[in-house]
Amino acid sequence: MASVLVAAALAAAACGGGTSSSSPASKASTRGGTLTIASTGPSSLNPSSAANNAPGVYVVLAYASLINWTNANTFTPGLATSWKYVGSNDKTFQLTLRKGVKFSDGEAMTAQAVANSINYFKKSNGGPTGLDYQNITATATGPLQVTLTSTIPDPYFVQLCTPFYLGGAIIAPKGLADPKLLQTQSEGAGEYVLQASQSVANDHYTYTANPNYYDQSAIHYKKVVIQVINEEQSAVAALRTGQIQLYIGGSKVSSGSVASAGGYVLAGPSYWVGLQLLDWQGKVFKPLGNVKVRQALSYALNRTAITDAVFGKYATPTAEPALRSWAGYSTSLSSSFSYNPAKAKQLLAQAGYPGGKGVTVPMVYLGFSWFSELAQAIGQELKAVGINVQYDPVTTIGAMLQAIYSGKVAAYNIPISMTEPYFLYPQNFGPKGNLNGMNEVTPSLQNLYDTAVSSPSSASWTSFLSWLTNNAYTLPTSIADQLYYVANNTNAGINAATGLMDYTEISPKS
Amino acid sequence: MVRLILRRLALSVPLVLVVSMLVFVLEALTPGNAARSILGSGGTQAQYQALRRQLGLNQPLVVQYWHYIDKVFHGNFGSSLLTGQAVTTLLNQRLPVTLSLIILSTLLAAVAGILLGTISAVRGGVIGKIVDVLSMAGLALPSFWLGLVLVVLFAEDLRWFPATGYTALDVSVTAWLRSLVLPVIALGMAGIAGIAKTTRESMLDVLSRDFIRTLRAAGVPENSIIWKHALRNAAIPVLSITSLIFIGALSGTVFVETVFVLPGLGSLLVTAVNNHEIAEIEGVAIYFTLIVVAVNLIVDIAYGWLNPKVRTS
Repeated sequence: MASVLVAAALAAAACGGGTSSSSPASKASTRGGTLTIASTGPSSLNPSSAANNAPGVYVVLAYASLINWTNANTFTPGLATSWKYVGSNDKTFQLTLRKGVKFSDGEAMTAQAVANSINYFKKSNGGPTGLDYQNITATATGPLQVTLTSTIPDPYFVQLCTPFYLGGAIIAPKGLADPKLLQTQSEGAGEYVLQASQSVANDHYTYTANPNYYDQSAIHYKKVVIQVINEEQSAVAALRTGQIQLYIGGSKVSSGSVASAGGYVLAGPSYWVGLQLLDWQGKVFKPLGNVKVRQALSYALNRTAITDAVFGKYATPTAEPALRSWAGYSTSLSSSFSYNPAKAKQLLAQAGYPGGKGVTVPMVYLGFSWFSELAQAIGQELKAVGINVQYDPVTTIGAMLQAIYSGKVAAYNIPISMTEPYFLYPQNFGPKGNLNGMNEVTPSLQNLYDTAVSSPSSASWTSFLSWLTNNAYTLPTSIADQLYYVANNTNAGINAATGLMDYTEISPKS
Repeated sequence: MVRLILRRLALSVPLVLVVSMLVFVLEALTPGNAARSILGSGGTQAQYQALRRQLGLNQPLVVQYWHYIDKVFHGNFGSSLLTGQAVTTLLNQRLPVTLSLIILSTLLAAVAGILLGTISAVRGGVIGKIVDVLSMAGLALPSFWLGLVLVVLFAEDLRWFPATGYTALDVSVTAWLRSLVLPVIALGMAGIAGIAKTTRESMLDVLSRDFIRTLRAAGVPENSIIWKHALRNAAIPVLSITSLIFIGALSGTVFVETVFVLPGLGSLLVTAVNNHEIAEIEGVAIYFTLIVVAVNLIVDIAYGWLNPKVRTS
């Protein structure tokens, strides 16, 4: 899959060379008034600490990226007009920048400014994607040329330059000189500029069209307002009364009422979720160090029933920690570990824990919405084979991370998106990984990862994912959709491969 | 009067200290902290520990609290760790929204409650019982649920009012009022029962007194007896319950502002708690405490106006 993606990127590069200022997809010729988007609040307005994926809207509007990842799943020119790998081993990537681009404050974009922005992002290492850039260094190698070099082969340079990974969202020198500014105002080269004076933190954020944006015809609205709405029902009510045109979020609970509210639902697989284990070596929770115990947990889960109960039609069951579009994904692996509680009990007995006696799984999870439902559903299935499940609900990601690092929990559930196996290993299983709470590293898994990185192929990544799945280091249950509710008077689309939306492609229907 | 005000203001200082200390300790006991909120799921353990030290979170709680309260007494409420904004700016931006909400909802509860209570006391019988039931219904309905029902009926179906959002008074008076109608009803309904019941009991007591018989014997119109003479004498317990309802509405704003997406102190508190923004949490707690102090002071002054005997004592 990685090689396919690289080929696609090169093809797009070949098509994308030159200095055309045309926009990636067809654009409305008339600029609309105000687009109001409802979303949860931002974790930060600074791209280096912001949330990516769906809540990345706060960054995407104001910070143009080097490469665009369109809803049609193509890579098209953004601030860079062409790009290519140079040399061998996928360690060096070169971008040619667009001429005449200015940041919102009027300062010209230079190669050095772009390099500084990427290096700042790497150094900050905040947010969910910071770790993805830790091996990369950016250098200005010409007036309009930037070269990215990685200490290890990286087949994902193109993706890392897109809005969804955030590092490609270029911050102006003014913002880099005083990063505190980035907490309350935007310093980018994007289609819009955040107006702090018209915004109230954690209530609404107002963006106006950027007069310095390099392609004025691509801007579809005079103003975009992001209204912070945390309650799903409130968002549907706002859609129905015409107060918003897009809601980022939704679930099976409210999706049925969108049509009558004057809207339509867009949904695409965006993340996998289930139960992520922590103590594979059994240092604290001894039974979990036994592969038969972990496999028993996997067999105990009725993934079809769990997926249907929690997500309805907006997810599919899976036992593999990967989305269908990710490198190494295999249908057979995804459907492995079919629900078999008898086999689960048999494995527990073989491991020396008949009836699950002595096996305790303290589990931390977010205690609201589907997170809670999923944790409860998983817990019930494990209890059914005799495992002692201890629930530890928390209300924030911060509290969950604290629990993960406390050494007192054996499992957690966090949705995993934009984290192909290449990024998954360092984050979840590598030394000092963000989610490797007990810092346990398994040499054989490390070897498979290193092999896949140095010789990337679909087969090598499948080997890596097979090992993870078969050794039950993580127990996915579902590949779930990201939902969007869109007003009927608004054009919007999503990328079927990632389930994510290019917000700059939203336009009013004529 | 001046002595009363000064005494109340002096008492508010230890009150603010106690409240802020309790809030500080409670927040410290909740899982997670600001460093985790800032880093989110990114950042290494080393970065987390460094940020924790930078924010002073590794210091003893007493030291952290002392640093905080020392700044407050110098007029500095701190700044948001996530946005960098001064907490006083955030609070002052949102205070008018919350004040609008609780003042209007209390006014609604007071007017409706006094009306229903008086009718109940004067008419009695079946009408009195109907009024009792209606006012108790308002108490039984949870404001969160009521808010959602009001949105469905009056915003989504009838389109009379917006479903969410707030328009500032200085932008448009009409839009400001329209944006508050549904939240005010959701918040105010519960208070009607308490005020109605207190008004009823107090009015029944006053209407049975000799001076009322004397007024009737003197030919004073019945309406004047009820609405001018009796009500004024029955007002003190009603004023007490109204002030309690006003103070109780402060906690109700947390739910109502969330449902109706109002940028008030209640919704700020929810976000601040989720993000472990201790300065914002403390700021809201202190503002709420000062509002309670102000309300109690106003009520005491009102007692004096209503009953001269209270004034002289």
